[in-house]
Amino acid sequence: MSGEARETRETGGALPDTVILRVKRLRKYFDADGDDPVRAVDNVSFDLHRCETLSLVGESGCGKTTAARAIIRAHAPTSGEIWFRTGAGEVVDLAGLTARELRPLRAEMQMIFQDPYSSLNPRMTVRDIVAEPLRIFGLTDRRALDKEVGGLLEAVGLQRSHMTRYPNAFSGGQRQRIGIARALALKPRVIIADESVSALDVSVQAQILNLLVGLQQRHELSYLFVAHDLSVVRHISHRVAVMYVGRIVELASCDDLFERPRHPYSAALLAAAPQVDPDRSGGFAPPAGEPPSSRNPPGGCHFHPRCPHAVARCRSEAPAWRQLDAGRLVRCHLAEELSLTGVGAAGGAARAQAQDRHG
Amino acid sequence: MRRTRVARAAGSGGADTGPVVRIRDLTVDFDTAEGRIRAVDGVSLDILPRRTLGVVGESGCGKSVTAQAIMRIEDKRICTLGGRILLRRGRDTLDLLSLKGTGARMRELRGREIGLVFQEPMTSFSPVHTIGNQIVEAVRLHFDLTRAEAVERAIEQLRHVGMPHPEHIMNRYAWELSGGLRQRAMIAMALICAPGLLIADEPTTALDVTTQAQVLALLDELQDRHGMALMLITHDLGVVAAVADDVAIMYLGTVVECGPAASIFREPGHPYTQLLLDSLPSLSRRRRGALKAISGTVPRARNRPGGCPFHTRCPSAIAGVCDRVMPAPTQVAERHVVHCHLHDRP
Repeated sequence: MSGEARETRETGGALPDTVILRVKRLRKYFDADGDDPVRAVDNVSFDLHRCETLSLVGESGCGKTTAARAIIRAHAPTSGEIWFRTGAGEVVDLAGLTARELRPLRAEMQMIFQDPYSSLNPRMTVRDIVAEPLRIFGLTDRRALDKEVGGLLEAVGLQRSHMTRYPNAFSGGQRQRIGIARALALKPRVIIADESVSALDVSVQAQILNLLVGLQQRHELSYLFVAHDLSVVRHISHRVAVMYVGRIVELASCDDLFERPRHPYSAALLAAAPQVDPDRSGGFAPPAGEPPSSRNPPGGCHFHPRCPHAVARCRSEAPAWRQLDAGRLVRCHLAEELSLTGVGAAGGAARAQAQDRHG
Repeated sequence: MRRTRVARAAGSGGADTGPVVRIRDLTVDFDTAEGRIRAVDGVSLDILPRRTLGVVGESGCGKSVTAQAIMRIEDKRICTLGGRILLRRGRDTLDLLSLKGTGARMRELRGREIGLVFQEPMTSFSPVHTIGNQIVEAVRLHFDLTRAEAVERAIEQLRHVGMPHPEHIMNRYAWELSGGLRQRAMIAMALICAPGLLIADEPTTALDVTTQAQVLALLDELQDRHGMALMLITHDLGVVAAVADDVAIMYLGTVVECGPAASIFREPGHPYTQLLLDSLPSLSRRRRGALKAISGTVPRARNRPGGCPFHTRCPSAIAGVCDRVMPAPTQVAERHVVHCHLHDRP
């Protein structure tokens, strides 16, 4: 592993300045020694830029959470490279590091979890929860800690006085703010947010999304955002990667992907997403069938049994991961020929009008 | 999905077209360690045949508790119900709250007149009985059929809800099925006695968007075929916009606005509804600055504010009015009712 890592180190050294994280051919197989390993993440590659939000979307079991966890090394990757530009300007392959080598880098990449109830220890005060990472990284002076924690709480829209309380005194949205304060404590450069607003009520979800966007601008953060709610993804992302059965099938800028999807699966997801739009006609169209198991996915293109456009080639030959046009990568044989519908112009304009009327 | 809706007329009086269920001034109180909590505070709603009523609200708004009160599956040790829930049976009406929740009469109605689909079919099916046995039990509880006849009917019903290989599914356990198929089985069981009302409590929340779309399409199709009323409880305004004919928006145990879906989404009358719609990120529109979030959080039920329950977060609240007086219902359009002082007629 380490030999391979050294060998490819030059690739990482050539990381463009704007790229903070480069994932190359990442694989995470569970039960890897068995006959049918679960290919949870299968040959995933992408770049995350500075101050960018890249979203991983897809149905449950598509590997989006596993990919995020492998990148943060909560799972050991089966193979692949995870090049990370550290605060000191070095470029290192996280996949090739030992736990000890990884430790100083943990501060730079932090995670915000989905469930604000189970991700905070109910027996610790907010002060101790937010101060814990600081303490682990050597800040022990109580007064300095309190000052730091107070500042963090204010940065996420809570009050200094909340420090002495326990998590159960807070609502779901406030708890998520505590989790965000904890993630920010070590001044990370990359934040992995795994379904971080999914458990929140709509009125609170908007507050947290606004907070995340504000913090990104203020602290120059890069977000890897794992989510299934496409409206949230549309709002927060600069670029979007759509995953299906362990593979990224399309990666494009947010507007391109939503307005002009080029992979039939992206189009199917968009068609199935419910949205509030009084002028949208026709309702939504569910795609047939269910996602296959990643232990035994269909041959060729994994999506072919559900794809309305599939031809013989899709059943026999796995499509390559290729650049379609500037900023767009796709894994489909027919991407050039298909004309797929996204969500966009007409409905959006009508809703905007309605909003102006009531605004 | 939308196209079918034109044919569905809104019921207005008459024995066959009147509401299947009329809820009047429903209150639900829970006795907790911290004292008595009012979870539902004077809810009145009509559920019309052949139509889907979407009940939307954030957690703690009382939407599920309202549904449980209709089914009378409340925990009677800690729960007190008030008001009336009038179920139409032919030319008669029956107040469900006058029945004993655990009594034979209510057991007879439950499943027969009112079907229920839960959010998580994994926990609502028994893991130790086959799907087939559970559906057969439900049929034979209400109909005098032999086991063979009931099995036949169950298979027919599974086919009806689009289940692949229904004979095979009969012998499977709930945990052997995917979430989407489990929910189909749950719907098959809930509809096997052809109830006049189906209550679906967050039926698609645990499902992926593509599976969600399939299940919603199925409910819509079954409604067209059987003409049952559907009470769809959800926190997802997108789901409601896609399938509901009528909408009730709930906040802290009260209905703040209700009426036809088209009217509510075009001209939301209550500030809470307006803010809720504005705080949603849009699927089809490019980002234009920050979302309009609603400030603060939902108050806890034991600290219910006086007057209009939303006044603590409402940007249009009128001091001395909204914090004192509970607003009366005002009709703003046909069948579209808003509970807000901004609509008070002088």
